[in-house]
Amino acid sequence: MSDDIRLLSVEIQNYRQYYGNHKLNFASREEGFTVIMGKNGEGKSNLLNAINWCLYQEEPHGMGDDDNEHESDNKSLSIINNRYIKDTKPETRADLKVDIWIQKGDTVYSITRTMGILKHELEEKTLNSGKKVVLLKDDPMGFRIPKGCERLEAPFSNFVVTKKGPHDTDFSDTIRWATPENQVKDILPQSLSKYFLLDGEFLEAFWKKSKNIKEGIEQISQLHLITGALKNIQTHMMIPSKGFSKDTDDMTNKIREFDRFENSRDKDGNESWTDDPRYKNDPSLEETYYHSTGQPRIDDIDEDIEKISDKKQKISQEIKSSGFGAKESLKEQYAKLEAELEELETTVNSTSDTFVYNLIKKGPQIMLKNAIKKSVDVIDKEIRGGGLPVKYKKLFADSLLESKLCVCHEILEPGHERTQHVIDFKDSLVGKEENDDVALLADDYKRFFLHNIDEFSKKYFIDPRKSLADATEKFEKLDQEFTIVKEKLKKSGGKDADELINEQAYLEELSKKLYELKLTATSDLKTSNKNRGEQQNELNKALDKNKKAAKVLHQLKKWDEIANTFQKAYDELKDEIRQGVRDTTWKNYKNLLANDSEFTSFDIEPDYTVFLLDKDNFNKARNLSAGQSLLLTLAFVAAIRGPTGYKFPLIVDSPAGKVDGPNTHNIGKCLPDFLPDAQLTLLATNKEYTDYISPDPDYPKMPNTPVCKLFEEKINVQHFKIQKDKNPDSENVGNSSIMLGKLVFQDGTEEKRGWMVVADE
Amino acid sequence: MSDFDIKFGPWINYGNKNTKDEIKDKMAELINSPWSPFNGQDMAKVFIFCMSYGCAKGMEPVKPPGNGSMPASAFDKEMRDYMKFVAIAHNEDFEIATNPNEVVKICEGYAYAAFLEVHDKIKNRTSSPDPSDILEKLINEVSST
Repeated sequence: MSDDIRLLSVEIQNYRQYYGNHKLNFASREEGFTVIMGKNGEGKSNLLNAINWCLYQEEPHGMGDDDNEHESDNKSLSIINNRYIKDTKPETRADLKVDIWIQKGDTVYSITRTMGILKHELEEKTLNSGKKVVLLKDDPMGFRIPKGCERLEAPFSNFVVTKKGPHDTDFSDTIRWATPENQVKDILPQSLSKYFLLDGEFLEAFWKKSKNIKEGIEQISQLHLITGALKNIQTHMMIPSKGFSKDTDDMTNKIREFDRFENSRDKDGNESWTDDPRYKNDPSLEETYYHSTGQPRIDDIDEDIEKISDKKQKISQEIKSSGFGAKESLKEQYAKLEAELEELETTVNSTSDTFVYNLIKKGPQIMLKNAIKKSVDVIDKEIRGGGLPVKYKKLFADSLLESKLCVCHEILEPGHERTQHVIDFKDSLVGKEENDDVALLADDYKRFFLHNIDEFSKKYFIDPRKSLADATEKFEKLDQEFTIVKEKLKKSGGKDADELINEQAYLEELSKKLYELKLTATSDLKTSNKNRGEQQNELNKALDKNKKAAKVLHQLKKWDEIANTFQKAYDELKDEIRQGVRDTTWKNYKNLLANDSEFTSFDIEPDYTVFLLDKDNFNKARNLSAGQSLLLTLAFVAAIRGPTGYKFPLIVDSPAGKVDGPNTHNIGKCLPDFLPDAQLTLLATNKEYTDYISPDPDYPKMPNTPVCKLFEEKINVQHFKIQKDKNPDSENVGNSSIMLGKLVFQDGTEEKRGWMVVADE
Repeated sequence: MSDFDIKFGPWINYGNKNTKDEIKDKMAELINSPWSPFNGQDMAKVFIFCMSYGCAKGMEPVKPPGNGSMPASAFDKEMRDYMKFVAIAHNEDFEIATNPNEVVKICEGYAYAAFLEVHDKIKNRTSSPDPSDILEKLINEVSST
């Protein structure tokens, strides 16, 4: 039996919106898909959170901005169901629980997390409407619970994993040597959870961070285990102990200095920091500082660049959706210009990179124009003089010997001096065949370069230069326009808009500064590593001469060999997996896209930089629309399951949330065939699933069949319906139920006519 | 295009043993510094650029001190073609193109002769910091002759 992982069921009790007990049984892939329908805010994302909380004690989905709270965010809900806690008598205990059953291979695991809460007197606030709401607080673990309650520790809050093997009659806690956390890590590691518990937000922003691609490939294929081992070997074993001679001791000290530089450590081995404070996206967080040098410094900077990028996106979103007094048209203009500028910036960078690369790679050919011409002349002269091609000279000698007749019409008799001359001439040509290749090479450069220099220059220099100039000019013009719109928005939007736009400008500057710091830190690290390598070689040579050191050196060499083997294995595996993921992602993506000629190629470089080129050869990977990004991420997630061999179940929240009509149609058509061996659960709204697909002027022939019916053509679907209590008294206590559902056609008025999932009473 | 090729090997010398002029450090600067258009590229590309610049400018090749330290495998076919043409033009003899050791020797001479000038012109430029500007300037300087 394979070690494929299957999600069997989730049982939720008094968790967030879910009052009482709710159980979901998931369909296996053989049985079809599981689709859970619910409107926004009814608890779809909290189903993902329930699974995450149970497995990892974290709730990452739909938590909104750190700095801003909105009613719609989960932050306005307590982790324990409000109605339930209200119903609980003071000074008694209330429990919330999530229980997940997972099958791995032929063993079934039951994973249960319980939180016990002691209720004292709830604190309430009366709203202007007269309605009373329970006030909430964050407990020390970061969980939001009602004020007037306290979270209880074990045994009232606990985490239990039990298992049932194929020959067991019941579940038992048989794995006593492993903590429940370690057992879960073995079944579904948290580092991978974002690749199987997918939400729309993650899918949409995925390609903006190359870290996601690196993690996706390296973590799932366990490559990080090799890099971890390699790092340990290098840290502990590469430097021989001192004490052989002063020279070698000095060299060893220098190597240690380079290592300290790489790991940002001081002489005592403690972490070394600068006084330069790091970027904080939450002012309430404690001040932290950048590492002084090496990889830790680069990692700090990378992390902050990403944080800034996230924050910038959030500010943009806030400006676009803000209620401040600006005119709608101005905000629309702002959003449009901002998106265009971002795209143009990528274009400017990529055209600049192309142009510089051409100058480096093809510039020498232009500089060597005269040398190439001179070489061609030398060779042409030789050809004209009969010195080339050698092949013809050989043929000529052969024909003389065969016809036994010399060019001077004398007979070539065997053993005669004249005959020997011809034989010697033929022998002198042996080994000169390569001269013909030189002639062919010269001919190529004559025809394709010297005779077409203008075309060559146009292709490699003039056109790229023009593209760069055009893109830069366009960028500058648009940037000016954007500045004007920003100013207008600031004026009409008042203080709030002013602050947001200023913060955005500040982040832009900070981001540029961090990029520069990163360049310098990377350059310093490269130089340090290079010098370390040279110092190591010098040390090896010196130790080689020292008999006392021979044994240590021998060990050192062995460790070096082991490290090299690890490095080689890592490089080979990484390349193989990366290329496999790249090819499959591209294939999957083309299947999912409505217009598969929109992009011409897809590549994941060895450093995990992604190139998705459009028809004009512009890299669009970081500037995809929400729908394109979502589809490409689905394609990627499906692809990493193959070569990495990790078959996990997928739960996708809002798979077609922001996807346009034609691509929604494609998802409906392709998804059933797309992941033939993946257990798939979708959390969807009616817009994504049961509504007729919106028409698109570019695809007039596209049928408007809803996704539910497209699925039905190929696969069985097990439906569930999340339903919120309509009673206005229950508002703000969040009462949702999960019920088995069925797909029905409602034949009502024109507006209400269509497919829907209703509770299967 | 012709697929004629010769094997260099195994090491090419750019003059890293010239400690007086700090050639090694300067090469590292060119491929690692944010101000350099060669930042992130390999040494082979700097070598070919300098060789072409030196050859086009009519410099006298200078034998670099020490032994080779750049792996020949870093030079792709296009680069090796350029090297063959430099050698043929220098010797005015096409047969030299089939002799890898001689080709390398001549090319090392041109690259070494031009290296410091190229480095200094890039590093000390007072004009635009744009990497394409200085490269174009260097190429144009020797291509019109």
